Amino acid sequence: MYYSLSLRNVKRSFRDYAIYFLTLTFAVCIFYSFNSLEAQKVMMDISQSKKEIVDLVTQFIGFISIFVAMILGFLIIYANHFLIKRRKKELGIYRTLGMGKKGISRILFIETFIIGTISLGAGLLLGLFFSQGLSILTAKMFAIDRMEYQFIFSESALLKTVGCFGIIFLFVMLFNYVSISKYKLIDLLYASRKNESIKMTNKVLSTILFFLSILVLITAYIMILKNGLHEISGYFYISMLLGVAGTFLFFKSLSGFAMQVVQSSGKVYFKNLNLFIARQINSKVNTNFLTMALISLMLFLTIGILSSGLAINKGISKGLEFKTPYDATIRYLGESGNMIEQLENSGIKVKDFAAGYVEHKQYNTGVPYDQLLDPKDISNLKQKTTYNMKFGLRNLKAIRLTDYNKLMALQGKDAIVLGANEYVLTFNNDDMATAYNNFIKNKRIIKLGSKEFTPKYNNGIHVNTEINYELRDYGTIVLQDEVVESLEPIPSSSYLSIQYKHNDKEEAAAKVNGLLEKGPKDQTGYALFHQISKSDVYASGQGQAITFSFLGIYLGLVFLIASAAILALQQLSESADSVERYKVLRKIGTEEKMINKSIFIQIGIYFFTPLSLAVLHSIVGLKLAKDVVDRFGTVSMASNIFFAAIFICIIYGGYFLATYIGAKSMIKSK
Amino acid sequence: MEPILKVENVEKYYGKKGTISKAVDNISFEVEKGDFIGVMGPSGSGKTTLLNCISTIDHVSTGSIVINGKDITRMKADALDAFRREELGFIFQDFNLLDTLTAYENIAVALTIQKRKLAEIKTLVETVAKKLEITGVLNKFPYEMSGGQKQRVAAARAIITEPSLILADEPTGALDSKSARMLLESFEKLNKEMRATILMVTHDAFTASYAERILFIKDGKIFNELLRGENSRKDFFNRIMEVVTLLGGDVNHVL
Repeated sequence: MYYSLSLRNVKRSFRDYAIYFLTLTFAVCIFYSFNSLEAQKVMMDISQSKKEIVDLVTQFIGFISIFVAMILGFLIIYANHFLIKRRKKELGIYRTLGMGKKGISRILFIETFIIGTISLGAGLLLGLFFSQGLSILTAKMFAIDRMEYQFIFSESALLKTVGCFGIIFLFVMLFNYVSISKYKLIDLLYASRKNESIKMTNKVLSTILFFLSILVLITAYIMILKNGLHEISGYFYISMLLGVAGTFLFFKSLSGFAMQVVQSSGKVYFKNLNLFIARQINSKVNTNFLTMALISLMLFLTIGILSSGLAINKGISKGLEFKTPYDATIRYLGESGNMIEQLENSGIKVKDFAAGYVEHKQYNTGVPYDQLLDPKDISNLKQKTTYNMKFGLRNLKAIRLTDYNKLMALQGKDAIVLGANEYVLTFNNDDMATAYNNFIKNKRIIKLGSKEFTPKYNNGIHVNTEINYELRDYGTIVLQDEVVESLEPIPSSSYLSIQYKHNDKEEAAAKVNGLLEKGPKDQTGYALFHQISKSDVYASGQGQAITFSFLGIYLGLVFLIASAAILALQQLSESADSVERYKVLRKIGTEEKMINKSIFIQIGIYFFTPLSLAVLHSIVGLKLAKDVVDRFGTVSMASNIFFAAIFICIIYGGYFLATYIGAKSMIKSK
Repeated sequence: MEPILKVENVEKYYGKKGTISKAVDNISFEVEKGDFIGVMGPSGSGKTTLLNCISTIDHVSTGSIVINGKDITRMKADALDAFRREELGFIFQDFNLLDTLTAYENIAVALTIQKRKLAEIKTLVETVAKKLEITGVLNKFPYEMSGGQKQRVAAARAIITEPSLILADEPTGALDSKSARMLLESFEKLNKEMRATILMVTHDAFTASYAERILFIKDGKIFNELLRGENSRKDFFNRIMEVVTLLGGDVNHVL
């Protein structure tokens, strides 16, 4: 009996359950897809080092999934609570018919079980397809072209999803049991008869608060834009605090203020159902402003995470290309001497594995950066740059013109020609660009000993001559060979840059590493030749990039679903409260079209005001995030924002439509 | 002259084959312009069903209802909305005011859904408010008003569009006797001064005594008809009571 009653309830109240069901399905789908990442490697032809990255990302996502499961758990319990509240009267009738609390709990238990099973099934099915799509994204992030298409299925993800959601549903059942035993029969039966008290918003106060909120928000924007994200200082916290406070104030006062604006023009107010819509929204503002503000902030977070997560990946990939102009750079840690000769002495023939190679040394000009550059330019450098500049040599380095041109040839770039007293300034850390450009523009002349040199070009050259994990060339001067040779060589700064013969770069790198390890050693047994290959740099950078991106998309989607679902449930419950009002409107002859339009506008306002403010926040936020993203490599954010916008349109828009349709049918049928 | 409302052989069945119950059983009557007609009957007599059919909220099973020359039993849903909006005015037992709107807005909404001009709305609302003596409460919300005030606001909303027919369903049902009297006097005034046609369903003899003509319904059929004529209201009330007694063992219901 309980089972058939539950089944009928689920079928009958499917409309109420639609949003709940949608949310559960989305949640399961996302949870499964991201946890199935590990299984995706089978379809890609990826190397060992990349497999390690996948493992790392998988591990990280697994860790974050605990947090996500908690968010989803709270969301599902919240949604369930909404549904139970809607059904108080029904439950009360069961009680009057003599069904005990246990019986009701049993009905709810079976209902939760049915809904849970169906949504878990639907979500997993959807997740299976979604994870195929996700694997394309994964492949793109790893820059893999060759993909053997294969239908992927991850058993571990399936078990994890079923386990996590099983636990969540158990909590839901427990929650239902507790709340049922708390309710008194009279409260259940007369749940719908609540006191209608309409709180009026104070007109003057809401106008003042509205302008205050705008002022607070603008202050927050200006403060954060001036301060930037380079330093997490007191300024940063204050502007964050102002931003949050401004958002709350904005929603608290918005409806009262908007009401006055609309009312001031009778033509708008007394048109169609406008007055009804305005009053509907105004009457609920005291209960709703809090959620609207929270959702606005959550959407802001979503947009920020989604777009900067993707941008960081792109930025890192772009940065990686710049960091690796060759296949590898071998660094000699010994005192001095010809690298190739020494290698051959210990039986390593460079020609065996290198298709092209250039050896070069760096020399010390004896000119410190902080004497060369304008103090103002130095103070404008990023904190990280000035911090790093303090380590290692603090003088301008020098390189022979011949070496420089050979290196450029190895990179496939054009050679430069210098006059006897000319110089070219190069650097690989792009933070230095302004400082050097200003130097060349203002001071021009570099003095080495008694000789003065003039610039060949009007600006510094942003170029990379060595492979390293970080870009730490803060300035190298290119001069005629004999000038450089008269300078002191910098110890342990001989480099051998290589393009491999072998097509499989990773295998080649491993082979060379093996050779070098067996090669010459210092007294402590540490190899004197040390290689950093392209794949080494990529391995370290990509892991970071891909983790960021997946995390961004994962969390962004979860936040988005949570915000949309909360709004949707709230709006549906409000529509249910307004059914009587629409009945009256229909009785006095309001057209169905006009009624539908009023529902559409109301739900639209609830969905799109928080989004609009979130977008405004995001414009400011992304301007800042760009600076952070730029640290990993410069990239245009436009395509990521576009991508984030599509996600938001689909999910948020989907919830909006589902809410509209649900509310419409609720109002129509009753 | 063409009657405002013409109900012809209207029947309304409920249930399926074999277990049919007739809520309205072959009722015919006419209402002329300016009539104030009462429909009385005990609970379950079919008077509310009849009213729902006339007000286009429900559909008849057979027969026709013609209001102002238009047969509403043959109209489509969209046309019915427009018809309700333009030709009918409603007053309900539980007022059915929109709790989120002020009295002024509650009255105005009947005009805004007809897409009337702002200036017109303003004058019309003020005029009707004066007539129903609710000018003082126009800026109040329903929860700030007494039952009588609410019902007069509802009445104002019903008549502001100058409908051909005003339908009142137990308008005094939720009012105390003083408020009820005030409301009924307003009805009388509207009927006499503005020649408003009113069809009022009630089971209260006192309320019914304000009408000019009364139809008694029992078991879905017209049982009796009374005309006030030149009688004073008190005499009319006594005559109504006689019929009510005649209606049988339902005196308790009737009162």
